[in-house]
Amino acid sequence: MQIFNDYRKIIPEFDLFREALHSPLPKHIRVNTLKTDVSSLIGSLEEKDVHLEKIFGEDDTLYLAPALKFPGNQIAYFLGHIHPQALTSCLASIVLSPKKNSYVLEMCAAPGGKTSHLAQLMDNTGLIVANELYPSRHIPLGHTLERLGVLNTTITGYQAQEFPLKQRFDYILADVPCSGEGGFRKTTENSQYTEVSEKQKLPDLQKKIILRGFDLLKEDGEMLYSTCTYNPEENESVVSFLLQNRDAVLIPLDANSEYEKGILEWKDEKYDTELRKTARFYPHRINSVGFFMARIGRRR
Amino acid sequence: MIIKNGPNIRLASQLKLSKLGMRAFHRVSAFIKPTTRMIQHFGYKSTKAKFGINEGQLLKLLEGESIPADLDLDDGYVILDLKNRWILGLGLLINGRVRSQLPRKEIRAIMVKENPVTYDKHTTVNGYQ
Repeated sequence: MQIFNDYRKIIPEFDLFREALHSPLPKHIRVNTLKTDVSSLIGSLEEKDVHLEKIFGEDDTLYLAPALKFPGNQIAYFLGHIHPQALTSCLASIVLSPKKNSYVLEMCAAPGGKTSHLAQLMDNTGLIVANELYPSRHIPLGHTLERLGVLNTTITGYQAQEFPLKQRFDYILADVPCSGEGGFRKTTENSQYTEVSEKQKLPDLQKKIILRGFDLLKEDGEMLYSTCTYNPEENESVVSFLLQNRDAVLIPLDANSEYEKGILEWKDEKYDTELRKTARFYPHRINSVGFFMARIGRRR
Repeated sequence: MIIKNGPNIRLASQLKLSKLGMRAFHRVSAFIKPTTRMIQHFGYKSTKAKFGINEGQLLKLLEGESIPADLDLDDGYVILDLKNRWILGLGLLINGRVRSQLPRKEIRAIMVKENPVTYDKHTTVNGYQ
């Protein structure tokens, strides 16, 4: 895991971080309140001897299901009552927390976990534009949305960085294509982290997407920029680029869980102190996919 | 397709849309059939053509068999209601017997059985919290 050795200087308690990578990713599920209520769902799973453990005191829809090997084999899955989703992925939608009846854009939506969560938080009100570039991914995206009973969403197929500027949104989720380092776990001797092809091109794409996302915001709109990587070149560097090129501000985020603040330098780059308002999620802090988030608004 | 009405639909209509809302009906040969997902969402409101089944009956349906149904209905679609608790989708009633119209790739027998294969009683909670 040489690539993660490069992060020794920026990841606190690095030995614990590496140790955490040897555990498999836990099974987290989200209860879909568009189609069921929490108590009925828990009761029906308990009847099958499947026990769920609530993760947060304030949110009763997120659970750890330690013994549930294949959530997709539950009838609750077919009925759209549950959705297997990484905890940090759920946190992205919770941090953005779109209000009911708002107009929301998700710039890179497939396969639809976050889109459906946004719809759930909005109680199927307002409208979500779920944008996904690749037509082949529209099918699984559509299936996820339909299975989970989402009625307030439409799907478009633009390049995220070229999304039309004709209209503005109350909320935007830019969960951009990234190198995916946060999803790696070394659970067998043979597990190897494989770098995505053309990883070095990702920051350019991410910068274009974050600029377009910002330009699509209403005056009082909010955007959440997120990745599932530890790489500062895809995280703080991209957000810093936005702050240098637009009248944007970072909004403190309350993720209701343990995270580290964004870093202020990496290799030759130094970042504005505002970057401390971003959040880094590590597996030895919050046992889930590694993640990065930045909550962004317009300066007023 | 069905979608919740709202003021932003007019805005979204200016975009090139690939899909809008939830598909409510699709064509099955010469007939129009409500989709499973539409029935799951709205079927609880139905006051007619509901057929309550238990898990044993559902397993038979999923295995391709028909089951007897003593329903005072004409031949046609009926809403399958599992244990009077969950609307699954549609069955087709013909001559007093119902066959499944549930999507075979999406609902499988293993979902109905106690599925000991999928539940590992010996797995302990991961120590990280």
